[in-house]
Amino acid sequence: MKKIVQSFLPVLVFSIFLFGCKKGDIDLKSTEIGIDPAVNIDMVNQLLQLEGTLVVGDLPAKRKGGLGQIYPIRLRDGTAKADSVFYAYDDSIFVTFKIPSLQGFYKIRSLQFKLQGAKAYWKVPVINNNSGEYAFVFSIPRLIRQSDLRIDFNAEVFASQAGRRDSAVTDSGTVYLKVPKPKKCGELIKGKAGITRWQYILGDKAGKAKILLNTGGIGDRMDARYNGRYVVSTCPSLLEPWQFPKCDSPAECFPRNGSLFTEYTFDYDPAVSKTLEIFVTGYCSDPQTLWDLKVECP
Amino acid sequence: MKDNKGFYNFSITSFGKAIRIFLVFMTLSGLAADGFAGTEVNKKRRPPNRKRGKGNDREIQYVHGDLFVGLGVNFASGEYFDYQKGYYNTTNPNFLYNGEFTQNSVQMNFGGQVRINPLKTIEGPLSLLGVVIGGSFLQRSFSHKFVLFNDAFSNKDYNDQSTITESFHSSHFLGQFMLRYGYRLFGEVGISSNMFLAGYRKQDLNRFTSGADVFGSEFEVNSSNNFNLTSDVMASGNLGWCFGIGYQIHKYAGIRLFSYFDKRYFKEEPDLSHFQPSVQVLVSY
Repeated sequence: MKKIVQSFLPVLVFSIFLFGCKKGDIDLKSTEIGIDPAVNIDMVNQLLQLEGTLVVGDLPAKRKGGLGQIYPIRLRDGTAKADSVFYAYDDSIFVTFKIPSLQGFYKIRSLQFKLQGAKAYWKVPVINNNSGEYAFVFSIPRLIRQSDLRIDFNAEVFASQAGRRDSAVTDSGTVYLKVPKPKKCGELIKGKAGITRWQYILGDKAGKAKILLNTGGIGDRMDARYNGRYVVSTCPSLLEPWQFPKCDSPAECFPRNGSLFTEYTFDYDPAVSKTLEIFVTGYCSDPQTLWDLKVECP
Repeated sequence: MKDNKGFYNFSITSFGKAIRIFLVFMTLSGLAADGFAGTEVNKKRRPPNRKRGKGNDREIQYVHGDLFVGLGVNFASGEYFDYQKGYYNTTNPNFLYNGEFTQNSVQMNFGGQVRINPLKTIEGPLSLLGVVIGGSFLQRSFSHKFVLFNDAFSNKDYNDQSTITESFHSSHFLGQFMLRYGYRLFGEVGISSNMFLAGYRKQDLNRFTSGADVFGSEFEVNSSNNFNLTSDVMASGNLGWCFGIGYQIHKYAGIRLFSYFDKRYFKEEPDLSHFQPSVQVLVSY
């Protein structure tokens, strides 16, 4: 017997060595698919979807002579803090920002941002390069588990005047990415100035769905996107799928309806998608604006 | 080792403990076959009309032990795969998701068992009926390659692809209780109980951009992370089925096709089933 056990032991030890389990750093608490930002923020940062390049290292610090303040334009709703953006899987996240001191011959070259705690940052081209309101856009793929995130960003600007070659980096700003809880049919949402984005999960019945908007005395803009395409807008024309509403939209996009709900309808089919995105742009120039909105299922 | 939530956490330390339990089990089974059983269970067949010391005395061995080692395939199936495939759908027209599962993997297993044939002295077919109690070490694994192609820049020379490979690897101790019929050619069927020992989940990311229109410069990143699978998420103590068919080539050696089937892998739904057929070599005594 001893001989058998003795001869078996080396096989056992060898097998444990060969097939034994590796030990990770963190105990897994869930079998949910995807990358968990709570334990792997670096991989989450690497997975952000955007047109840009990933650079290893910290966000470049403000350089001497650089420009000052940079801040996101508030996107808000009834619950989120200022400077926060709601997001959903695979959606484009549109962060608008301002650099008040950017004027004269300085122009923006690129925006640099990263998720707080990540070891690399993204360098991205900037949209709206010719207005005072800039934006960068990216998506968080569904391979990442949804949770609240925080992004630090700054901009690299350069002197466009002939004979000058200097460039500068602005201060850094922060924006919070938050996960909103989708609304159900009939639930009322309220908001103020700035851009608000909400999701509605509609029911199982196909037909005409209604969006009811009350802008009050000051006009507000509303756009609804369904199945990747805009289906409703207060503007005369619909946005392209990759576009987002802006504060500096034409005045005709901000109709007033007093204290009445204006009804907008679109064709809804649960077999295609059950998610409706609503963007309400409260009249940005007037912080007194208030609006109410609800969606009714077919 | 119990954690503060009362769950059993199997780390490498407790994995070692389980191996020690296994070795004790092997030693006891050896003793049963070789020592204890030799004196207590083995009898001598002697016609009743003959006195002790006369006639054709020969030892009847009621208890046998087997050590086995094998190579098997681990087939995983179940709702967990459908759940993962559900992530291929997206409302973003620019994103193309697809994936690929590796649901089977070749794994080694080994263990030991004690066979008891209490009816060996009875004349007739029942003499070939036995009971088998054993234990074995085995592993399970599967992987999922998840690919995201970002087609937002389709009008440009810009390629952007992210691939995440997720794989689960786990080790288990399996206790088995079976009925066995036959001697040279034999069949076995019974129940098994799975004890999760240790495991890990690995996530690998490969992301690259390429093309003339890439903003800034092309890049490629590779990163990898391991997470421990614990008894917080892994099922343990659940019952399964085991069955086998084999041939005892020699008194001390045999070969068998042996299979385990287990419907639980995770503690929560969606879950996985595992079917693990393997070819094993037996050393018997």
